[in-house]
Amino acid sequence: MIADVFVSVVAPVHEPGAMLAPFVAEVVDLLRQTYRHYELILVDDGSRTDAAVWDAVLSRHDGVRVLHLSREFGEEQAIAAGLDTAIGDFVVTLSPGADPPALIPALVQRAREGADVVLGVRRSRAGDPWWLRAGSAAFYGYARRVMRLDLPANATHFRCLSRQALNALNKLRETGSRLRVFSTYIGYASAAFPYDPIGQTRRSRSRSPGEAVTLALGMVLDNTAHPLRLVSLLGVVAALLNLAYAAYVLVVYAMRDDVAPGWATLSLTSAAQFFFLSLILAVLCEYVGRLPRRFGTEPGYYVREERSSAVLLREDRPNVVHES
Amino acid sequence: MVGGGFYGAHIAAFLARRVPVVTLLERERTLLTRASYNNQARVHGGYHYPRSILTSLRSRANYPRFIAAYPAAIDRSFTKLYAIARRQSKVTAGQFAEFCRRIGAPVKPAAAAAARRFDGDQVEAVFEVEECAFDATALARAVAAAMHAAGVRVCTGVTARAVAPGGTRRLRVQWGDAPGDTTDADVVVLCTYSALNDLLAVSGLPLVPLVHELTELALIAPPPALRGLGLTVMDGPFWSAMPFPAEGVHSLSHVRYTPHARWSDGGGDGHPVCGDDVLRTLPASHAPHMQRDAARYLPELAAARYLRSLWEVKTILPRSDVDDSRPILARPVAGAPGLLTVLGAKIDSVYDVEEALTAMLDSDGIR
Repeated sequence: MIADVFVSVVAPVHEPGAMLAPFVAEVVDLLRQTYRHYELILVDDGSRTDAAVWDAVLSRHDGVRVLHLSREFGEEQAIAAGLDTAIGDFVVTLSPGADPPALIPALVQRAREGADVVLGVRRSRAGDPWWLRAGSAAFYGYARRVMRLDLPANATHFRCLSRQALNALNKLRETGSRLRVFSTYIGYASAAFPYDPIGQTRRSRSRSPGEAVTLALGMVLDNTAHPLRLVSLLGVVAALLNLAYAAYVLVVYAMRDDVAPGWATLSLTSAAQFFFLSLILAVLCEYVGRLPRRFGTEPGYYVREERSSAVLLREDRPNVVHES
Repeated sequence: MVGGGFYGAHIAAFLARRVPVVTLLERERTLLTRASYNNQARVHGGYHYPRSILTSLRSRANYPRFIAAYPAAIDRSFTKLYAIARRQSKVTAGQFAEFCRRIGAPVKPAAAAAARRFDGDQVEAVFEVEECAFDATALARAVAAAMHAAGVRVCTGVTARAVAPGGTRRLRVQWGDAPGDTTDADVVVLCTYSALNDLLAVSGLPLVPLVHELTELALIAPPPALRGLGLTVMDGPFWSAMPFPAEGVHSLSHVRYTPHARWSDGGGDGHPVCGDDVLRTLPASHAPHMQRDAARYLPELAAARYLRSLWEVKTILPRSDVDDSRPILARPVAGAPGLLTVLGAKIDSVYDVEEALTAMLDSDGIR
């Protein structure tokens, strides 16, 4: 039974090597058997892979597009580039090698039943080291309480968006980590889709501690000015303390006779200096915190080239020779 | 003249002013039924080529000539809007406006009511330009009248089977099965596009390297509010929806989805692929793809009703043969003096071929 919908699949790939051909074959076969219309958008995240590898895929399968980004922009940006050009009624994103293509129909089915955003969620983090599990728990807790973003824990890139949700997402001009927080941000009906990633490859591309911290930090900094607010609060507190110290110096100077000459002047000067410095820093922090909202318009990626399937005519095509 | 498309018919009338007897052979029952009909029906005003200023300048030069020559076929009853895509476009709105200014093409920001039809997130700016469409049926009548006035003998329903040196003149064209079904001529111009190499191969003549594309143009009935609009989104893998005057509907074409398959011939061994064979087994339509993508930029288009598709084999030159940004081939065939091939591109650049043909006939000593 072929469903009468148009499904787009966006897959970011980086240095795919030998896995590309079987991956594309698996996805395209599945899509062709399941949906009336489909497209597979491979976003090449600045690979140095030989052009012949892409050519082979484009000439063998119908409905495949390759978007070559000009350099490596990262998986998030590669997915964003694919989403910007996907035309389907439902758009699935997945990481080749990690997310099982066989689950695409089940994922899309959830979306067709009414969830505008279906998020793939890993069943367990059993394969992850303890520090990653502890760190991610801390991060999700911070996100929920401080950033007021109820991020689904353990969400992956395996997602399905309705056209409506995708259009709303594309209107968000923030780049960077927009994909990770979008479901809560745009507020459409969302659903979690628990599944088990393909085990073997998952392990090989698991993050190092540095990468994990950078990612978490990036998401926090991209989405909230909260850390900056903390610093500006600290500045105000420091300013008040200096004010109190200045008052203390004046009181001591007035009450006691054994004050060393110059102590009061020096102390007052430094207290005043630090008062103003702290105040200025606090005000600056408030302004800096508002900047990203105004200037977040630069494109997050650049496309070098786009190419589409050009399946050659069938080999058994009648080759009529007109004899004269 | 072999081939009664627009190029063949126009050039036949042009040649008849210079040589005493011109005969045109057309395989179909009527003129202009193939590539001249199965296309966007756009008279190019140069706006399409912001990355090739030479092509644009040629379009600017040819545009008024074409309109003046075939006024009865021109439809300018609609507002022509060009929108620049915000993402993945190869030019920005500022660059497009500057480019139009440089080639002297009229351009102004579209009226707010028209611009608002586009999704402001997908489109950076919308311009109103001066461009028109042609009615292929009216154009066929006009060009037939021009041939009649010039004294061209038009033979429709006649297929040229082969052409070879010999006969009472320099060349003999075989057009029927009987040995006597021939016509002799001093100059034979082949204007048969996708069938060009097929004819050359059968005639035992050297082939021309050509690239062919199987193309699909969707015909749609747009919602009433869009009927008076011609819409184009630039510049890259985008689309165009504009009036198709010959049938009173809109055509929808897409840079990404209009070409279905591409092949080349004339480059080496093997008999060339015959375009008609390709058209016999058509692939699944891309109209749903075109409409879905177009509706992302102009949501109202989702309500357009798909009618049918026009399929055609579009023949172009390999990129290496396109010099001076004028993708028009007019060249003699080696080993057959007097035999010329003509391969036009945009319908209004027929005047470029006139120049090239004049030069060839001059050098050939034909007065």
